Amino acid sequence: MHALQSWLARLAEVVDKMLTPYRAIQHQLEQEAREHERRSQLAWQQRVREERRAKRRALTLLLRQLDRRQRDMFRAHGYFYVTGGGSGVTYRIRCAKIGNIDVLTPDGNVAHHLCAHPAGDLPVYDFLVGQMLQLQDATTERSFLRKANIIPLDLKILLTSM
Amino acid sequence: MKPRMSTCSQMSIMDHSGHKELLWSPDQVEDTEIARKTFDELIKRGYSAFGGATDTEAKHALKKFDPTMKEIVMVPTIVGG
Repeated sequence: MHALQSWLARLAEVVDKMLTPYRAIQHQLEQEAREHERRSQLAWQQRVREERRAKRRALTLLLRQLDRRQRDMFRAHGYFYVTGGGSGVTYRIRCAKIGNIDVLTPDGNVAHHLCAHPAGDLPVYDFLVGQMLQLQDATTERSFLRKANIIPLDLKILLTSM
Repeated sequence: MKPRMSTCSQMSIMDHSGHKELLWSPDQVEDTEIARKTFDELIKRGYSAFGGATDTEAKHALKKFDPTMKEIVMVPTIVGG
């Protein structure tokens, strides 16, 4: 029994010696994984900070373009109204990226939604600025409407769930 | 970016950072020329330009660079969503 225990102890020593270089590699790999994780976290935090900064800048630009009434409405409700420069139609622009323009009938009901926006990876407030500027000018309103996709009212449920 | 001057005009160019700002003073020929070149380059790339002569005036579409505008907003080409 004693001999077996002694043999096992020697075996453990030998195995331990054999594993020593692998332990160093394992340690190094763990360190590299931790460093990779730390860098990913930093990059993610940096991205979040940049996105927030971009959003703030875009909001500043938007608020500068709105008149007092539009600004108050946007702050209170998250949307504002724009009158089409050529058509005289009233549009309600909501703070969203998809199908966010409501085309209103003369009695104030929503006829349908429009989906068109400036191309590129822009903050949502830049979308609203672009849409407002395009719609309030007579010449650009026409071209904007030609490019916009019309979304019927019954698709609203689908859009709000996106 | 140059310090804002009292007679300074501003071009806001939309991009992923919110927007870039380019300032010029209409009486500074060099600055105005840089703004004009930037304007022309962006128009070539499909941007639309909207300008207002005062802070309160609703902006209208610009076909050509107008250095007297108080603010010009450059909007990337519109795409259907």
